[in-house]
Amino acid sequence: MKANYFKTIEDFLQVVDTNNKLWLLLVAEKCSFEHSQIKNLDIDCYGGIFPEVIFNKQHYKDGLIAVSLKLEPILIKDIQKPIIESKRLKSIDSMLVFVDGLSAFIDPFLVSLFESSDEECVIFGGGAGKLTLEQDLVIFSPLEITQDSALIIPLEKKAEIGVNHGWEFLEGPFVATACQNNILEQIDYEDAFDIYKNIVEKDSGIKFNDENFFDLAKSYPLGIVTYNGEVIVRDPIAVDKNNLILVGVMPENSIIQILKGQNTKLIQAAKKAAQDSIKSNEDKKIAIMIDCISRVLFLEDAFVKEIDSVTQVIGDTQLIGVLTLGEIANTSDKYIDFYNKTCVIGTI
Amino acid sequence: MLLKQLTLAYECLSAIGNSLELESMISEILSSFSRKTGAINARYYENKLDDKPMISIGKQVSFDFNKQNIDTQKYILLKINNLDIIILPLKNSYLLFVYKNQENTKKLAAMLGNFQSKINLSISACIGVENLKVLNEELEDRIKTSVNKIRENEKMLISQSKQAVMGEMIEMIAHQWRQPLTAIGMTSNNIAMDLALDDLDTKTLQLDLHSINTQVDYLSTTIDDFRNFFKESKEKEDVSSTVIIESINSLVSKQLENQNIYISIYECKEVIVHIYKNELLQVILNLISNSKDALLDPKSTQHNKKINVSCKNTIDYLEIIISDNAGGIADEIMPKIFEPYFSTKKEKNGTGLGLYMSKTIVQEHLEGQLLVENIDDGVTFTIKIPRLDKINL
Repeated sequence: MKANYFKTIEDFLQVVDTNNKLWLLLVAEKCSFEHSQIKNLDIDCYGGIFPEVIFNKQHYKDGLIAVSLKLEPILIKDIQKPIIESKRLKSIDSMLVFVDGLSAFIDPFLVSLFESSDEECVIFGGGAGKLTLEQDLVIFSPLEITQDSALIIPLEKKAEIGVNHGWEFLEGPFVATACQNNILEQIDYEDAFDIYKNIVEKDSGIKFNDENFFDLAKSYPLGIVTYNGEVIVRDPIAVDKNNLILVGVMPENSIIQILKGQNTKLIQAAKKAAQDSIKSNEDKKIAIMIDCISRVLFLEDAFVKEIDSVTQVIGDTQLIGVLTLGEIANTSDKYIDFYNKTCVIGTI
Repeated sequence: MLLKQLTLAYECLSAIGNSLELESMISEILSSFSRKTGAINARYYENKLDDKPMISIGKQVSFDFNKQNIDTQKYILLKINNLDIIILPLKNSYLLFVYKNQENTKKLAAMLGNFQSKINLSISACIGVENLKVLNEELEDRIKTSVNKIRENEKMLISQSKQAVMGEMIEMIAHQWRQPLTAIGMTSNNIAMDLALDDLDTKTLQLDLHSINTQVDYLSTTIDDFRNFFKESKEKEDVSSTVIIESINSLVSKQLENQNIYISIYECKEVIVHIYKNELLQVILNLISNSKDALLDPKSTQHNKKINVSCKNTIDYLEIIISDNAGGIADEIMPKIFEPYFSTKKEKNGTGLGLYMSKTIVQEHLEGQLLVENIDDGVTFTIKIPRLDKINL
């Protein structure tokens, strides 16, 4: 698995080694990319479009990362339906998964992926999509570019993963008393936004108005409390009437907290994720960082420090990555969760 | 730790009993418990653990264990290879959860054990509802069968009552045909006589033959009228009130005249109804026949025998009114006249089905009403049929 950053798709196509037939392209949102450019080539290009990409110590809104692959990826064209390629999935022991991050069917897809994959399979990845937060065609194979779809990239070696977010408890617990998929309607039997607004305005000293919801909410995500002590972060991205619109589903009757972020804690969390991803001390060729775009929006210029903290841990191992709409990490010892505002690092 | 345990207990409890459909209720429990507690596989066995699970979700892992003495306990916690297995015996069924790398499975097992009675209750409720559904379906089937049987019987009765008026019809045909047959006979005699006297000229012969043909056409039309009456009406049709009145006129007027009953049939303003035409005619003929029988009863003292048939258009209905001057219906039998097998004409082979079937036909097949009331010297029956422009087809 070798990776390089290119400013444009033309740059990549000029220098590509056509002896290697399979390529993964991680395309940044601002990159001028037309799917027709990768159709009918001597090579097969699979990939996705993301808000930003990470290469070595930098993150880019433009350009693309090209990664040579040995095993052919699987495009799941319609994630609403149960996966039928389960025989091939059972033979994969590590996979990188990119899903349409704004699809309404991510949760059933992850259930189906968990049920179809091998008992020991390591799965990590995230949500493709654009920062406009409007669903678009973002997952592609050599033949087509799709939405409500997913790309499964089998990895040639067993991956090791680390997951962490660094968001801290601000207030709770509350019960999510009424939810519809990714819409949180009620907290403790009251309108969700009213409860959320009171707490956030009190802590930040800033009032919500018609234009600043995301600017303020990006610092105050919600956390779903789990039995294992893990807090799964849910990002409120919009408000509709008095409902909070989240990235990822919120099961009804979940116990939730309102969280708050601090730059240092988030950066430390990314470092911890990197450390967990190299616990085995095996020689690693590449580290793949799947980091939530909202961490960049929160950390702003300090985000490079988060990348630095990871590169300090992984040393000479090449770092590539994407900034995503939702993150995935699983070692097959429980169902696959769709995280928000989280840093996932996989090494192989 | 307390928050985590409370959280888990609350979330798991919230997943119990949310559906009255067994498979969906159990699936929600298995799915929620797995997601909340981190199980990689969850199953529901309906009877024995040896059987194939009725529901299995998550990763399909296989393992084997000793299944004896499991029923006696609140929960079982097993360790097989790297898997922790929690079995929750229920009333006639089992829940089973498989964990990998999970800490505190003992606490989890104890918590699940505490849900045993609530899950049992929910399963009983689902089974109860399913049994009720089956009973309900059986009941629905039985009702359907009974209703079909009633419909068949009704159909048979309508047919029988139609057959019953057959004799009457033959008499009507006889009356209708008497006059044209006499006319044909006379004309043919005239031709024969002219022929014998060698006085037959072509023009007279043409006129006589034309007269015979006219009578034959009339006879043929009469036959068609009666034959149409005996045809089964399969589809409702749009029928004008004037056509109904004309049909009545052509079917009964001659017979009644020959029996010295004066029938007045009043023309009415045209209105369209959507009906089984022959069934309505059958009802009207039956009512007229009843009036005729009453007027011809030897006990009747009425010399000026009359039957009136008229129409009235109201906002919603076409009303066909048949009245006579046969003395009316005695008050004590009035409430019973529409009951089946009630007859005042037993000695004349009255079946007691005529008015019952008339009412059934009007109400059930024509979606109308059949009303009766005594008037000064007789009785009036009113058939109310919804107007076509007032019904939603």
